[in-house]
Amino acid sequence: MADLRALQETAKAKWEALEQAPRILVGDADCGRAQGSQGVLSAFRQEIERRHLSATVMPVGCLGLCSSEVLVRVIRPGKPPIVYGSVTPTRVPAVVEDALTSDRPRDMALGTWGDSNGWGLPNLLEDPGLRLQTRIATQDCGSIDPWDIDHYIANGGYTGLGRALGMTPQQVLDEVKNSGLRGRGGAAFPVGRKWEFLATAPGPVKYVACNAEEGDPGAYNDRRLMESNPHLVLEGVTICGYATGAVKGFIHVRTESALSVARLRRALEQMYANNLLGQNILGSSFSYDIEIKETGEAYECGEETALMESVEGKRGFPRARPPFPAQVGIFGKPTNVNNVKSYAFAPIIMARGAQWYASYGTEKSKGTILLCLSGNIVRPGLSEVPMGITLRQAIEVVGGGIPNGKALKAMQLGGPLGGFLPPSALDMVLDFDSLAGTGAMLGSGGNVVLDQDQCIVQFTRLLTAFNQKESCGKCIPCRVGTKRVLEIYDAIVHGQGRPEHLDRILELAQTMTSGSLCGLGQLAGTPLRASLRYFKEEYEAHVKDKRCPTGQCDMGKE
Amino acid sequence: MSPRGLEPITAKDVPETGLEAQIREVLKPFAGQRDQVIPALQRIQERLGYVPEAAAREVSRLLGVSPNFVYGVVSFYGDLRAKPHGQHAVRVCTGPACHVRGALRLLRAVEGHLGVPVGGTTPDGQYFLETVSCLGTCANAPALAVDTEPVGLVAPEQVDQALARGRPETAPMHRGGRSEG
Repeated sequence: MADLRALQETAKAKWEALEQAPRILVGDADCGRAQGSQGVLSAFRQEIERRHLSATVMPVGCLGLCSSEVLVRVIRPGKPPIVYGSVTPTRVPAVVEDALTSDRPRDMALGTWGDSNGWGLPNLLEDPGLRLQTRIATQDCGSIDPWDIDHYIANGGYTGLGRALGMTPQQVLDEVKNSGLRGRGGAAFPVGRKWEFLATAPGPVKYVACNAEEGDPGAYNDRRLMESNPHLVLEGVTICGYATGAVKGFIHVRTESALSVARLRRALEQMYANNLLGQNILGSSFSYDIEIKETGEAYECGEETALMESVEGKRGFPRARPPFPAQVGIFGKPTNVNNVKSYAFAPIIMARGAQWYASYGTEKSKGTILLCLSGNIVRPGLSEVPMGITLRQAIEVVGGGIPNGKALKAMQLGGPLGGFLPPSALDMVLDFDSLAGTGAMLGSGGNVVLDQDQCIVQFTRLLTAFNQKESCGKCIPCRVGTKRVLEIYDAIVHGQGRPEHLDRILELAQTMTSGSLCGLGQLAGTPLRASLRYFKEEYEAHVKDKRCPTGQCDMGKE
Repeated sequence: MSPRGLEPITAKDVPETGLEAQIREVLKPFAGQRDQVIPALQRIQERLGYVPEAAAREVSRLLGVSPNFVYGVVSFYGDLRAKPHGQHAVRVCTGPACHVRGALRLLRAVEGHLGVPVGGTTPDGQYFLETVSCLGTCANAPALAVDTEPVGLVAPEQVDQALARGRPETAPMHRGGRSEG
């Protein structure tokens, strides 16, 4: 593939030149931005200039240590990278001194990324939490500048697409099927099989849609990927287009995810400029377009049929299925809808092979989880861990346990339509199927951790309020059901609850499950059932004794 | 008679001719494209701060959908507004991860600092206050955003510093804008 080789040669030359001089990598995904990475980047540029040093300052994505942002990695040729955490603009001169101009770094660094070369600093890669990680989708996150396509290509980007274009579409589908990749949006349907539905659908116009809506509170892996390595996602959407015979891909993303949108748009321009999109991609007979289709704030648009309505410019109401999107989709044309992460693994599977991917994870849940830990945990943030680790490993090893010496009370998995798990579930395995029957599921990877001081009733009320607000209104059981449930919770947390309310909650949950067209209504009862199952005493204290055990609820007020 | 929620243009708004010209300029790229209703409305809102009735009617006319359709879209998507608000949104996250790390306390502090309740606009028209369900910066909870710029680990005593950090000049340009950082 001559065109790709030319791109790779240019990119590698540029990357090798970059490696000749010291580099300062600043975490500039939203985890870094929220801690002021833009100011830190400016401060480094100014300091380097002031001292007339030769060093490249570059923004990078999420390194996987989100709770220590702003993270800075300083890489000098031939030396191990030095990692600094919680960097602020005022600390920048000291960091430059420590990493670049002094004879060796002292104690202000978090450690080194690899053996510390006798400096006496901890090797972060030996940290148990980091050792547990298997960075596949996030392999380049934190190492490359997400604004620069050459960085992506120099590190293997578009090899997958290149290989795919040298195969038949059916061979590409077989590779994805053989990898065992299952969808990462929550339903976990085998991705290769789903693509095959579109491949066998009649043309000539077929579409691919990437669900980048990410409305689940507590889930942020899609946005981190788009911010840290937009090309990975776009390459995956392109490979899907080739494998299924689609003519165009839509990235359905919220305008308010501004950094994701900006980086995707820049990456898209670069793809077109380098013949990676448009007519005759890389000199092949495959032509394909991608459109970044921005949407407004509406959680329901993360549902695949409501997503299609939004792409069409309408209110995001779900459609009945059948017909399924692969039969009747966007503008009535056959469409494949998958989550960002499901597409993100495709370029890597095509480049390294199905067998390589299938060597990670468990028998039925191949690959990795992009885990979003948050809440009452020492190290919240994004980590990529193999399928099959236990919840205990996630909470204690990756997450560092519960802060301030408090006890774990509950883990809320899978977003506001997901369930709860108590501490007794810590030795359960995290994958797609092992949690079946517990009332919880992996979902899109979010895990909100609650400590002993959190009121489960208050927390469940919050999830219910979200579901009620986001109910699109199409189905009465969901529209009115979520409202009635919220009214009951409002009464309970204000000391007006009654024991019969608990039965009523379960009745309403059942009505919503049986009577709703889409997952929002159908699953709105999941957190209700799960919290009642594991925390019944806490509810009973509220409704029988009019007492909130944690003291979080204002039990006496209206 | 205007549909409920879409305010008629009054004298205190931009003069008629100026407003219409602005609206047409913003909407020109979307002419005839019904599927671009949402982005068209968002670009209007970016320019004017909200979607006035005149803009909604022009979207209807130019993109080929009914005014009722446009109103339906404006009322469905939470970020689209049919009424004027302050210049910058202060968006405090009250999602589950922020909730367990003190979002409610932070929200009260922000309300106190701005002097307005949730939904209100400061008297100088600079900020309006809203809550959001997830900014995606859960590792830095509790968080808020000024427009789309996230600010994490905000202590209730440091609201003014947080608002300063979220200044819009540092917000990323989208639509293929300049290299940031």
